[in-house]
Amino acid sequence: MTAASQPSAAVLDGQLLGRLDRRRPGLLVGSLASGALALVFIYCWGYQIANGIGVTGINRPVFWGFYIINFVFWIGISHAGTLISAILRVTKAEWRRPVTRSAEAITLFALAIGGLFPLIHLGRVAIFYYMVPYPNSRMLWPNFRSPLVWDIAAITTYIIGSALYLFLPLIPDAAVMRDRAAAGLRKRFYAVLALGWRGTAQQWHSLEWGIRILAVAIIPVAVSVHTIVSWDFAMTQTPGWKSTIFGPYFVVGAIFSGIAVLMIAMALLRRGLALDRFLTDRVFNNLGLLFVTMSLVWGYFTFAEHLTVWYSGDLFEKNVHHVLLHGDFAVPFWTMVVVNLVIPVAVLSFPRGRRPLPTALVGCGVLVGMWLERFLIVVPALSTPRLAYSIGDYMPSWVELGIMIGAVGVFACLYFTFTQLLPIVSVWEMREGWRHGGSGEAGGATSDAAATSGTAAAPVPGGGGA
Amino acid sequence: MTAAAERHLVEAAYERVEDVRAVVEAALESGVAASQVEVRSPAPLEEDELPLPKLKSRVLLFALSGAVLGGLTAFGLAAGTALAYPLPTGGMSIVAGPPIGVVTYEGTALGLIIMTVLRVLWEGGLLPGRATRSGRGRASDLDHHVANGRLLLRVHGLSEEQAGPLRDLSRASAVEVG
Repeated sequence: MTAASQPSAAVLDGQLLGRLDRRRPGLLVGSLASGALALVFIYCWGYQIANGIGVTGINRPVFWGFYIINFVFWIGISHAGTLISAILRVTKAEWRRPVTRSAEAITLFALAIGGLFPLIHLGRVAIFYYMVPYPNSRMLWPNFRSPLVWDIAAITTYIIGSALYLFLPLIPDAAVMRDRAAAGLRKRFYAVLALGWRGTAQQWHSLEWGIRILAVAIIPVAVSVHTIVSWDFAMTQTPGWKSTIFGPYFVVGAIFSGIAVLMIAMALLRRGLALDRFLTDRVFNNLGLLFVTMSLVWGYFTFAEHLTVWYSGDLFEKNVHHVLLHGDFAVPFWTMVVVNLVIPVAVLSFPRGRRPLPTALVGCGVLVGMWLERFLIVVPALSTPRLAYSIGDYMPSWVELGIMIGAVGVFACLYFTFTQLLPIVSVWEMREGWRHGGSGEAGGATSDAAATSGTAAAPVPGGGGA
Repeated sequence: MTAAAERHLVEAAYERVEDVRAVVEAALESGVAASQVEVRSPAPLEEDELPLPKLKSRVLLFALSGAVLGGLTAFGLAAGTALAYPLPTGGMSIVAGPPIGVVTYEGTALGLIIMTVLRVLWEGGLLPGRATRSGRGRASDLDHHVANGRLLLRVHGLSEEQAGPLRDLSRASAVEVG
């Protein structure tokens, strides 16, 4: 992009903040459609609470079904924010600026939904509080030796951390919205979110420290969360689950699926909100490279996992392995390999494949593939136990299907609502990048040009010019 | 802010950081203390862009304190539970290291994160009921300029002799003078 074609701060404000000032029919339709799906979620869960866990297809020996599959799947998606935002912040990657907010929002909403699934799986959700350690009359506290309790500790930490990691950089933008909004409900809403932010030097200084520390802290938390989720499986003696590499394997898969959602969300935002100047081809190219790298790493882990099982000669392990590769689950298994490895590598290895549409389509395939991976971890292992007479199968009921599909609606509804209310691209971070000539996107070249020409544009945060 | 203090407040919105710098330098030369100068910006400024003292932050210190506090709390919870409700462990230790380590790890991270955010809000005067010193952080009629990408300079507690020249200087380069 030439310097002459770069947008000024007025264009920045107009393109980014102006999106929030006027209604977008597409977003409204998206919110309504996803809201309808969210109602399916509520109805199905309500039906299960009223009629008991027997309305699901979960039965002996497959005690973990769609709910646990979806739990692992959504927790995996939540890794979008931590990887893209935190790691790119820590490494000071300039092209992160238009992406971080979207990634952080995905993390929070995916995590909130993922965290619901164990509660849904409980059946009697009303007694969830038995898992909370507090003085009680039962004379029983949670067993901290159980990986399921570690899950609670890890997910609680992660959801609080992710919410604060989203909220902290949002404060200055909420203040921008507050000061631009006309008096009324919207202004009051932004005033509450902005907490009295004025953009003083001390506020910026403290905020930068806080973001820096949170970015560093949230990475090991994210890794621990999915590692602990993997230990729900790996700490058992169940054939197909007892694996020392499940921790990193799960983390890699989580990051992979997180990037997939981010690619889809960004492609939709770019088209729906006309954010071409912010979510540029360069951003998609860089994320596409990261995406294909994660595809290869995932392929490596999958190969390593199955090779060691095959080579071990352990009868029970090989039974599970057989149904995966050659038996009842061969079709989903090889579908997973194709959509997670073959297609991403074939498409994303070329620059043309790292454009918005191809990356989004590959992302859709990867989401299917990663869901299948979670399915193939949970169901084949449980339906092929050590004792042959307890072999069983699993067929999800309409309630489980409704909750699964409805969860997508809840996520989309939350995301669309967030996009309608708040800047999905961080305004102040874009302005900061512009000032330093390094955002790479909407303003980087302008600043460079200004610096070389000696004009006043570079020192103006955001460029002025209302 | 009292009516008297308002009389001696000079505030102006600028397009360029150089203009702010010139006014700040003039203010400091006329005897205004750096603590009376407040610059609001739409994005963080580099420390050397304005002739003002370096800012300090104790966010890191509080973050580490939070980590220690969170870690100790989690350790106490997990180890205390194991001791208060001992389970038969077949000769293994009652207070088992690995599970308590996992819970302690998460507690450490949680403490660090919460204390970091609380300290950021405290230092920025963003917690409810946190009084802002000498008018700093108060809403201004010119705040909308910051939202639109400009800089806002506010100099507090000026005498009449100091305020007049500063206001004149601001009028020469500012977009709007309050």
